[in-house]
Amino acid sequence: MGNINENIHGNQSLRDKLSAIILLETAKLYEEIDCDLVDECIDFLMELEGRKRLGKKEIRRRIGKIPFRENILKFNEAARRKVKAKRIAIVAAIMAIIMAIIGVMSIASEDIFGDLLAKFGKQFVEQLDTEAVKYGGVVMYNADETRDYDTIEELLKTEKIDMLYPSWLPEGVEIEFASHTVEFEQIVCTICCNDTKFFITMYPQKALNDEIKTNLCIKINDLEIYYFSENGVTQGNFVYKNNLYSVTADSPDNLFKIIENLKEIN
Amino acid sequence: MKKIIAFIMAVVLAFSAMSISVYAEDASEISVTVNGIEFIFEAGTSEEFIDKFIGDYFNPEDNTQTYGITCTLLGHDIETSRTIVITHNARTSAPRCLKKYYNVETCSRCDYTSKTLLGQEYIYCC
Repeated sequence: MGNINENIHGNQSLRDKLSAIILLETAKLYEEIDCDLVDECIDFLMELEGRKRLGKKEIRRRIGKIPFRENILKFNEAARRKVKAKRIAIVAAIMAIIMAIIGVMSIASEDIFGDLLAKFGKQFVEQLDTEAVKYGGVVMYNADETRDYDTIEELLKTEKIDMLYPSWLPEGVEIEFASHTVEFEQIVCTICCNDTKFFITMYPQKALNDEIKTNLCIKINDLEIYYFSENGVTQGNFVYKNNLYSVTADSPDNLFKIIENLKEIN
Repeated sequence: MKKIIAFIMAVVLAFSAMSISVYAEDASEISVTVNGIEFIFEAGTSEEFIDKFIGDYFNPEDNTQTYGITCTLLGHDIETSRTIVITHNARTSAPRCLKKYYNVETCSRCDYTSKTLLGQEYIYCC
């Protein structure tokens, strides 16, 4: 009789301990719960009480009967989504590392795979860039991208190019294209027209060479224009605000009129 | 886990920055002189493009272009770039060198090449 009581008392104390472990463990934060420990303790506790553990279907059925204020499955779903997001983040990070390593290696070795990656990157960037607004009119070109503007004024203002631009051009001649490029560390700004005889370039911080000053000279708007005509093309060179300009036209008259009507962005 | 992801992302950023700097060091215009004519291509222009352009410049009539089946069906995959051609000592007095600006379109899949003169000017160079 004494042994039975001792056994019951011993079992009770063990059950209490197991219950305490389960309670303490489940009171922790979701991420910190040791599920295996809880599982083991529940199994042991149920064996001690001579009960069998419920199957998954039975658990779901019973949960369904509990009058929760919110659906418990929502919590499960949120937890699952969290785990999924973490997995995606890990996969993305690993892929990014691989891409970065391949990128560095291929650039260093200049191999074909590097070209392929570069093409892929360019295609990707172009895809992203499709949202750029297209106005039609004047096209701005630089080494990295091409943008369209309505007018040359808008282009120069937006691109922050401090360059004189023509406010007059002969009939039928229109500005089509402007560019801002770097040629061996020298910035070159150009304004191109639909007629290639009309062309303006500006080289910032460049002086006029003395030899060019041997050409014919005319003063327009206080600017000394050194010009020459050859093979149906007339070109005038001058310096304005330390920037060297070269204006090309089809005749001296048109050249002078273009230079006379050059404007500056305020 | 958050710390691991942050660390990974930091490593990736460092790698990317390295790639960009390695690329930037290499990004310079390409100058090729053939028969006294200087061709200036944008940084990163392929050798294939350079050969194609120079060949076409000297032999404009010999422009037999193969048309791939993909281009026949889908059209060309056009790549546009700027190329400068400088003819040195084109004039006897300064400015002597003739600089021509071209807009060049090439197809990445086939032989198609098209160049358009944008403008020209004489520069003080030689």
